[in-house]
Amino acid sequence: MASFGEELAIRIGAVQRTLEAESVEPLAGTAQAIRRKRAVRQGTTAGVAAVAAVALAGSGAVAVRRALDAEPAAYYLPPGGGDVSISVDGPDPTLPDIGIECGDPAPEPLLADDGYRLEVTTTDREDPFYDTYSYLEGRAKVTNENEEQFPAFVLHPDVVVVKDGTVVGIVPSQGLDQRIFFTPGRDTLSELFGVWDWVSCGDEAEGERLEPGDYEVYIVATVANSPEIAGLSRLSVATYGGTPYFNGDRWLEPLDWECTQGVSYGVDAVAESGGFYGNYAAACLPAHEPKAQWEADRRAITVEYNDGVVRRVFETHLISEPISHRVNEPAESVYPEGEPWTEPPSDPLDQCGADLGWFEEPSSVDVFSQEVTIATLRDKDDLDAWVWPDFGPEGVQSRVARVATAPDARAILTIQGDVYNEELDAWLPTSEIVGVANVTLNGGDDVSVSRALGPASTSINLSDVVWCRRAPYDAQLTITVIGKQTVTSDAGSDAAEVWVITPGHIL
Amino acid sequence: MARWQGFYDELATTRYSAVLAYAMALTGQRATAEDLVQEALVKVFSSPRRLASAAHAESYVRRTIATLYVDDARRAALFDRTARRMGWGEEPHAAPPPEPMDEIEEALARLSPQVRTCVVLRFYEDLTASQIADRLKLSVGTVKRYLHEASAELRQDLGVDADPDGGDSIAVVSHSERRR
Repeated sequence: MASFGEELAIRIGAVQRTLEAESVEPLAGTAQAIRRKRAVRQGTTAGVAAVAAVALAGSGAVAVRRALDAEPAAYYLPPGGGDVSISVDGPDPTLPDIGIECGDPAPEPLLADDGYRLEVTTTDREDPFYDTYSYLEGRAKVTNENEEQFPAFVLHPDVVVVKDGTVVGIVPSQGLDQRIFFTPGRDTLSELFGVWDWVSCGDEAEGERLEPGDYEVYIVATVANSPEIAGLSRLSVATYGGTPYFNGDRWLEPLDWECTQGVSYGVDAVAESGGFYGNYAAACLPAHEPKAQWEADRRAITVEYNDGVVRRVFETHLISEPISHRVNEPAESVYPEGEPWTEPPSDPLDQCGADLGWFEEPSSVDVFSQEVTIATLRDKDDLDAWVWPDFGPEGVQSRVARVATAPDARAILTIQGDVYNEELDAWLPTSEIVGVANVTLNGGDDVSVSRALGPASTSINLSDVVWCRRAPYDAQLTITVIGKQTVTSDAGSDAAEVWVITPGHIL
Repeated sequence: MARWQGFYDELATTRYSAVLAYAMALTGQRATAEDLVQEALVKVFSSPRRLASAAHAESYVRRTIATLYVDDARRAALFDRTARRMGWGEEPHAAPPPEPMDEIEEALARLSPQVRTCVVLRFYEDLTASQIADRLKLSVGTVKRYLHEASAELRQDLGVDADPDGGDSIAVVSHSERRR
């Protein structure tokens, strides 16, 4: 009696023999469909192919040698540069498509291809840090061994994590993170890579933690160039190294404050505002680079590329030998966070010097003041401040908003302190309670904020201030206000029971 | 000749019948299987993935066939549900006329595409429930449920004992044997 699996195999074998007798072949047009799709993927549409052919005719023997690849793996652009249009809803052209997915078999190492050679070195693992945190880092160095010299970019590597011969995670490339490219005389470029115990699979944006155990890691380095990469590399200069943000952000317009801040102050200033964390919305591009055009109807940007930056259009992937990577049990944080509080201390002055801890869900409105120091408060009660709601797809989905706060709200004044923990033999950060006060924002009136104009200038009044005795005179204060704060916009309203005044400036 | 073209030609010439037979085990329909294999070939050979050999390509094509078939079935089921809810009239995915079948084919044909795919992967490719889940992007629990469901159906149709959590323990007893 055959098992079901055996019967199934016999049955499939019988069908196969019948089909063989018929001399079956793939459906007509299959090979053509593959060629067409490969050409589209590699940018070799019919029109571009024609341009490439013209370029080849005029670019000499070296180019012809490349053309003899026959496969449309590369083509040449005509001299002179030009414009390229990029959809902000499409894939980021600077992110390589390595064709490896979770669930695939382990990739085959490919240390040299297309005139490029890959060498990977990992950081000395003697330091116990690397065992504690399951961290592997190193450098992927690509050498250009082509006789012909043409500009090309080495993109940030993908890291492919394999367990028992199957891909279980990928740390995806960050794309174009530097604007250095191969030029005549420069034959090596290197990129740093790192993998912890977090990887992503498929579309999971958050990623997942690798189970403790032994893994193999393959570094996939991509050497590439295209009008899109060249054009965006130009923008990365204009944006202080940041690359455009390809989420199709519909809440920004080119002259919005965040965009202009990107031009004036660079990535860090924008990141501090709670905005893009170092990236820029595509809609900002004209603010960064006057030659970039934003076409709202087509949801596309047009950028200029220079023929000194791109001539040969191609994408080559090099794959390292496997590198062993051990993932340990997740280490406990050196700084235990404890539990957040949901109700404020009933009498904070009874707890002078104690750690206030942190509130679970404070308002996301940023209220900044450079004047919240003990020294300033001894001279005056009204402090200059700025208010900026968390605009954007994840926050206030509107172009204008109104911030309302209850007047004379009770507030707890804290300074950054530290306390020695004997068990951990370490100093742990604390929010030391140094006093209380009543706080009124903008005289009790609402504060209107426009995304086009930037943070609203206003004032904070502190009254009935009571200090703990040992408060340092020049310390900067963080003020935790126990009072309702409501943000109202076209998209609705959102209220929080606690809001925070942070020392510093938003610009 | 491009590298991929050589592997494609070799696969098309020497292995296409095997791949098509495999797809037919999943679909139960030759026309559907031919479309499925074509889609898988285009997907695999147009991908930037570097192929080492025709056999390497075939393994990817087979994996892709199973994934595409389950994805297509999901999409079709969603479309049918939407069509019915929206009152769009006749169901757009009416089955084509039946082809002659033997006992096993008939039994498989009664299973849903997802369940049938799990059965083929489990008992023909000898994959574990966990490996099937990885390949089809389903949860392990869902795969086990499908296999359990399949074993109940196959027990009824083919008179077999089944244990989806265990090894290949579905033993086939034909109708003629059962009659004896």
